[in-house]
Amino acid sequence: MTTQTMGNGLRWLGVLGATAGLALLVAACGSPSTTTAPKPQLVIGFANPITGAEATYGVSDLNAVNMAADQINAQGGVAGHKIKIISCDTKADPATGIACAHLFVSDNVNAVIGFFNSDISIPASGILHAAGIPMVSGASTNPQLTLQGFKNVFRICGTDNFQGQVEADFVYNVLHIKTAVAINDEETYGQGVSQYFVSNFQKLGGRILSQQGVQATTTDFTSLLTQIKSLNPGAIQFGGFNPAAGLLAKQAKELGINVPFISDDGTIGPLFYQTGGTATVGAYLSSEPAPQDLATAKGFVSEYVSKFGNQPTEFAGYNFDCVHVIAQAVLAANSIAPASIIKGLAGIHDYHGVTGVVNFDSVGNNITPQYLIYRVQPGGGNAVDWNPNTKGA
Amino acid sequence: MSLQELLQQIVNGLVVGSVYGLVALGYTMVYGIVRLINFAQGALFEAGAYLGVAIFGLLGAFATHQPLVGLLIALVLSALLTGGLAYVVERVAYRPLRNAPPLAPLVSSLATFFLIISIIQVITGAQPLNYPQVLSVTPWTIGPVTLAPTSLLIAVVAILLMGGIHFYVQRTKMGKAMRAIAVNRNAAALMGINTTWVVTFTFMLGGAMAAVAGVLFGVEYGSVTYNMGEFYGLVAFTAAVLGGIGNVPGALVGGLTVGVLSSFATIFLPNQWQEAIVFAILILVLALRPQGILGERVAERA
Repeated sequence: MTTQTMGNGLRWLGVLGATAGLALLVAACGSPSTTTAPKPQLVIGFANPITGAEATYGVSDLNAVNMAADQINAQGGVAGHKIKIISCDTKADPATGIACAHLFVSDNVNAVIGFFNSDISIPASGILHAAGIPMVSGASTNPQLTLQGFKNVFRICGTDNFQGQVEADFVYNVLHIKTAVAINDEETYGQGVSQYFVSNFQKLGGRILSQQGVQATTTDFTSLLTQIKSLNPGAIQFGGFNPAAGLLAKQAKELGINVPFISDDGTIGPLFYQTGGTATVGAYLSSEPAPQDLATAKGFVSEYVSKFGNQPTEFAGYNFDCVHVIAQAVLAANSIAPASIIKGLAGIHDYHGVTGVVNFDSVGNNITPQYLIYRVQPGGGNAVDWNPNTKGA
Repeated sequence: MSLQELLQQIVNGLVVGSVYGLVALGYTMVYGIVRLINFAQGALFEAGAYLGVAIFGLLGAFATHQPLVGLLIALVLSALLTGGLAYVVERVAYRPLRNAPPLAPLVSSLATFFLIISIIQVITGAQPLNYPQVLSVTPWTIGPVTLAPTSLLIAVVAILLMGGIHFYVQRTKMGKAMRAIAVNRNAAALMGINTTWVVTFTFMLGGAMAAVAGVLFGVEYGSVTYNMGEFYGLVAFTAAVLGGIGNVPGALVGGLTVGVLSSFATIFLPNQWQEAIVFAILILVLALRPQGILGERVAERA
């Protein structure tokens, strides 16, 4: 998933919003002392784009987080600590998102879930790191987030790099194809996915016959594809976006190259089929799964639908799991102190969430992230073709 | 490199080159008659391609059931509409500058180019738009080469049209008037030729050819973008110069040559260099053989 930034115009509104939120919070925190809560609350800050262009994701993530908190609280909370979610709207704007991070710090939250957009999560993680507050992300896939040396940062969803690995695994072990060419659009995202496909494919024993960069603005790839055809590869992998992906798939077919075409979640979506037409049918695309496509998320999806009346979006399941993983860490550490939660998170072992199994590596990435291989169907829809977690299928 | 690959690269080059040639025709005809390099030609190519999207959109389900009839309607309508646009461009941007220094209409043509492209960008929101799939993508294998039905269709339509224009310029009354104006505009006017109309008509014909090229491009690649006119306009200009600007068969020769050379370029250089090669050709031609392959003007060869 790529990151997107809105203008800085909302900065003042954001500061205003943060201040107002703070005031409300102080008021809110003042009142519950009258209720009979034997243990202090486990306060989780949640930051997502609740309004603006990406609000569909943010609202769905917030619903999922609230759902998880309600479920846990209905069973008496986490070792007696009731969960309280403080939601902060980033508007997908970095300045506003960073104001959210400062708000969480001044609120002394116990943990944070966020910030959806990688270009907010990365700077915000620095603020939370300085304050020693654990942060779990359920949507930011840019590899850089966990490469800053921050011990407080964890990520449940995959990274862009994992996609290349899943693609290589699929081509080599499932399609039993041993040779491939790799093409990328020379942008950070596409190059990354393609490079990881190449290194993992070679590690498995496959041969990369050619590795090519193309300009994303090119429309005619026939001479490149003619060269590729003479190499007689078993598959063509492309890292990047449309329309280049659709054009490559189409022109390959037109040159009589009838080998599997594999691309990524920069490509998945209606534009691929609209550009490449019937030539894209049968192409394989790696992507993080929609919760609807996960056997482990069946119960989550049905409860979500009955509660909110619409389908959860792509990252809602991850955010649901974020709450549970934090709860697990609290149980393991037997404390809601942020420093203890960080230790608890690092020790998470085989947590079975709705999106799959969670285990964190030394930098805080989930070592068993979920990526599925989808296949383009006649008419342009996508259907799950392979799930790496049920290997051999 | 195998012989098969070599032949396939030639075929690739000829297909894309025939589209270049069609756009180059507009440059060359206008230059031959009024000695103006009409840079708006690239924008007319793009406008034609986008009008094609709109026409296919209006045809809706009909075009899915009768794709070839739909394509024919799109080609004719887009050519007529873009011809009309070329009329407006000539009337507004060039005719008032007819007696101005030669640099003025050149700058005006560049301004028109950017104006048209910016309007398309604003209207479509810079989103790439898609053409319906007209023909099957399953290629034919002819001896050692493979050829997609769409590619063959494009090459045939483009080359037939260029032949038709050549015939038109050489054999019809209007063509004779065009050649007369190219030799001496004042003398042609004194002979009773309506020079204003003939010049306007030449612009319109060039615009119509660009539109046909635009629609064919859309059908071949399935996707059109708001800045396609920039690159393809300049490539076609290179083709016109290479063939001999002002020379109608030169447009075809130049287009096919540029197509094949850029196709070959990827054999010797990394793929990303393909576009740079085209403009290196332009520089070399201007330095070594500025009159182009077939020499200068249509009139001198008539």
